[in-house]
Amino acid sequence: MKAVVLHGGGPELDRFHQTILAELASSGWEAQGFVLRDLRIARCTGCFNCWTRTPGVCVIADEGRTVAERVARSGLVIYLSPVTFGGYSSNLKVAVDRLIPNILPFFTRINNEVHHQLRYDLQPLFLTIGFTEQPDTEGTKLFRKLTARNALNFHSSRQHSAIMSPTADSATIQAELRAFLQKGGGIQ
Amino acid sequence: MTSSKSALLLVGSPRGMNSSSRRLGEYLLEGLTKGGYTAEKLMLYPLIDREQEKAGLLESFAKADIIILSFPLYVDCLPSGVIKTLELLAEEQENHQSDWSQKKLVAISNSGFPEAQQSETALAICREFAQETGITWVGGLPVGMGGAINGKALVEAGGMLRNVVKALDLVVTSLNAGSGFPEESLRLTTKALFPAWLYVFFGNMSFKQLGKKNGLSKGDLFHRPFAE
Repeated sequence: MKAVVLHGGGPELDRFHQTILAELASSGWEAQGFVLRDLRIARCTGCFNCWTRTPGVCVIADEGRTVAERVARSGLVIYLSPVTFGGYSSNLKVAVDRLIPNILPFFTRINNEVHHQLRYDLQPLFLTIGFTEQPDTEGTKLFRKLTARNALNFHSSRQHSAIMSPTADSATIQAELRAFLQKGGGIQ
Repeated sequence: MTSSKSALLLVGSPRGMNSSSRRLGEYLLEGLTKGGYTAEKLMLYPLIDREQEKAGLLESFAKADIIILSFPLYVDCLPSGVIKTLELLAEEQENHQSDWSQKKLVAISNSGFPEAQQSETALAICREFAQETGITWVGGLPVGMGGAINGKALVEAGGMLRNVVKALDLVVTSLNAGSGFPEESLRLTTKALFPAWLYVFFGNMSFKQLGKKNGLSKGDLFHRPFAE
């Protein structure tokens, strides 16, 4: 089973990224991580070509395509990010915006709300880990809410958002990941 | 007599001048101009990725009394370039310990979904930015059915957007009067003008038509290039 980790933080979070990759490998996942600040990923231009001209593929030929391909093939998707005004960092969001080719333009209704249809059959497990020194604020509540909304739009089978300090022990993130994976529910 | 009040519109759409975000933001900006504000408009794309233009952004922001941030909803929140802008501004505030309490921020988030409420999280992020930087948060207006605007001037877009225009007029009046965000404007933009199933039907049809223009069949649009 494939897993992908999108690391949208600075060097201070690298050890968490490494811990997650190691934990995933030891749990039998074929995991690939992307340190997004080191990648050449242009911003989405809102051209709609990935929906109506080159379906499923962004017209920009850079590492944004590589990330999107990996996400499309992964049963587990993990985001790491500093909590940025209650949302994702701009580094993470550049890559997330370039995942739009992975869904269809066509609408459907979920819980009486309009969303885009899935392009692929995978409904991945989705875990976000937000880093902040202030764990219990409006910002962290918003981060969790954003994760839930994204999970809905990506038709995730199960989602969770964990908040931790950037100075936390690496064992903390290991425990969060294990707890999420052990909760069951599986990939659909 | 030169006005001492200044309004700055930040357009956060990658589509720039052809964007619905620009049209919505400009409507507010023009209203403030009529209320005596001097106006400036900046397109965040591609400005935010050009080192030589960032200084200009910070200078314009420093002068502004009211900031209008208008952007499209991208994956339930702000596009990456807008987040980058907020990060830059927050860093500026922190580095200089600036007192921005006299600045006011109003945000508009537009999406292609019929439910304007889908922009709630994005607008809450803007509010959080205001709180963290000490800016006075006026309010955020969610606008749905962005396909109906599609970059056109609001008056050209016609009757479907009458509630959006009414809502913007209320916001303009409140801003010019220095009063709070009009709750009625939220009621107007979140009110469904026609059933969601009808929007879904016409929306899906329009994507098929766009694909057809590009020589693609309906089936082609379901292509799965990364399937294993």
